[in-house]
Amino acid sequence: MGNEELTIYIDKKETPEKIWIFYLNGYLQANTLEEFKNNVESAFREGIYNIIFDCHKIKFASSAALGALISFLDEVEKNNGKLIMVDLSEPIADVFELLEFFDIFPTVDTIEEALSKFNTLI
Amino acid sequence: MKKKISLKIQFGLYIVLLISVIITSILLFIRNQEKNALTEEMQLRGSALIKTLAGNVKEIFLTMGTTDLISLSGLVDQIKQEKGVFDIWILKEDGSLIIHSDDKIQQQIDESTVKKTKFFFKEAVPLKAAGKKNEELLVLFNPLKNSYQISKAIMVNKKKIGIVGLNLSKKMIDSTVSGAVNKLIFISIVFIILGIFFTYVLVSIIVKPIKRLADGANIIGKGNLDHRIDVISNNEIGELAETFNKMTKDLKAAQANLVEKERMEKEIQIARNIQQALLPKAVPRIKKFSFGALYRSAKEVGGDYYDFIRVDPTHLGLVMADVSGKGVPAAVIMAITRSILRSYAPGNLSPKDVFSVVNYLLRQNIYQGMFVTAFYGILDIKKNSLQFAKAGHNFLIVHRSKTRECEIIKSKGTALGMTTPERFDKIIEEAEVKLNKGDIIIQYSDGVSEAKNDKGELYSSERLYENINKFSGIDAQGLVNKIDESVISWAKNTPQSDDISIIAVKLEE
Repeated sequence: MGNEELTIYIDKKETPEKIWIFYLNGYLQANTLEEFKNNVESAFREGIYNIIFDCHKIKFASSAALGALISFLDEVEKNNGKLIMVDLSEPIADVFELLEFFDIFPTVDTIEEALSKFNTLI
Repeated sequence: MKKKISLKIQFGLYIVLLISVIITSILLFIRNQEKNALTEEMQLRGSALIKTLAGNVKEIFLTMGTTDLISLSGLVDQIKQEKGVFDIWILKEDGSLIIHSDDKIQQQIDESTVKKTKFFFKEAVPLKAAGKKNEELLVLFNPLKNSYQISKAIMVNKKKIGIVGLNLSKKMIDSTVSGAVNKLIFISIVFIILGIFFTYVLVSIIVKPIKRLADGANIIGKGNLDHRIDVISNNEIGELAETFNKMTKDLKAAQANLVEKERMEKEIQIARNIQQALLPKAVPRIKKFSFGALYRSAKEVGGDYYDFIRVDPTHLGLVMADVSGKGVPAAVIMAITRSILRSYAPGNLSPKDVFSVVNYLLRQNIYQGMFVTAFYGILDIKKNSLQFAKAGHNFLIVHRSKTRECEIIKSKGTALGMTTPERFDKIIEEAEVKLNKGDIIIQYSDGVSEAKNDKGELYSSERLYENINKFSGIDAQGLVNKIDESVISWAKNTPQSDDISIIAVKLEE
């Protein structure tokens, strides 16, 4: 399991709402979870609660990772922000179906679509 | 134990030895130099004296003849006064003595008891010949008298008419040299004493940090890993102390690591104990049905939970649940979930209602970011049917004996403890399946479908369905065991990353 890693690229949109887009590539599981949490929490620390996760390159998501997603959603909603999932890869879509996450997480197909959900002020 | 010789003594000895060798060499060198210089000077002086004497004697010989003893002895007495002159003599050309400064010999000459002989030549050994041939000097060393014997022929018209000679005592040289040597020896002793003193001081300075290092090592050796050796020097000893301190730090870290590891292992053991204590000890025995159950924990215990709960005399609750996360937190949440389920399941015939309560209570008690996926079914023993709901868990598998195929029964529902009661209740659905003779219902945790082989490939739900079809002929426990065997042979040496749980119920007749 040595090369089952996760790379995270963050696109920080300087729109009036300040949205951070996380491009997730790889495995969301025990060995990468800490890094994933740290990255997202760095957004919270800067007061950013508008989050987009691009999920088309996720190869696996463990239950603990989905737990992290839930806690992010709680945190975001508590602060009147939004968390939007974009373009789920098959492994994560399967888990979402099983857990009925589609009913809980707003999920769209493209980044543009996700951004438009924030565009209430422009 | 080997006898310890302190560094101070060792260094002291070496330094004294070294100083002694150096000083002795210098001493010998200076002594030889001095001796040679004095000898040279003395011979030069002797040569000058003999030349003067020879000149005067020649004059007397030529003017007054060889028998003018008064003039000659006057000359001899004059020269005798010179420092270091031992004795003087004058010979005729045939080698016979005319005059000698020694009164005894002179008396013997006068009384003709000494033969005109060359006695003195026998005693002497030649040292060197100096000067031109016609005024040749003969320098000899006379060991009996410890003197230099210098002689010169008196020549007139290339003809030898006589010989003059004298003995210069070597004693003066020896006493001068030995005086110098004594001074040098005195200075050497002073230096050796100073050397010992400075060596002692220097070695004390060097040894002190080593001693501190040794004391520090002793303290650390007794288990105080917080001790740091305070050696401030820029040399190798300072470096050693630094290395030592780093080693102690690393040792402490390694020890802390070990403690942490032990703590984790302990925690794993606690989690495992909780888990094992809460799982059913045996499967139910109910007429018509066979039951199978299996739990195999991963190295780090996950939060799998299965249960059989008596709802009422004709209904049996079947639970399969998986807490997100691992270790003690997962085990605790599993215990909470079990308590809630066991409190609310009896008497309640709606799985959806039971889940609704579980979600409501769990939501208030769960750690942030944790949730429980669960399946809960109520088996109607009389009607051979199963009423069930699933909260984010794997779909229910029903193996139909008629078609020998697995039927996947989907129903909606999100995981327990994850979302607000309003949302949860809106999503959760209830479903029902009727069982015919030979039908099997199977539930499992994702440790089964997500078991990996050495290439990282998943065992997968599809492979699970195939194996259920393959082993559907045996009773429920036999089937569960066969499935587990197939998972083990799939994974081979790949470590199990999650708990594996399977339950199965078969309608036998």
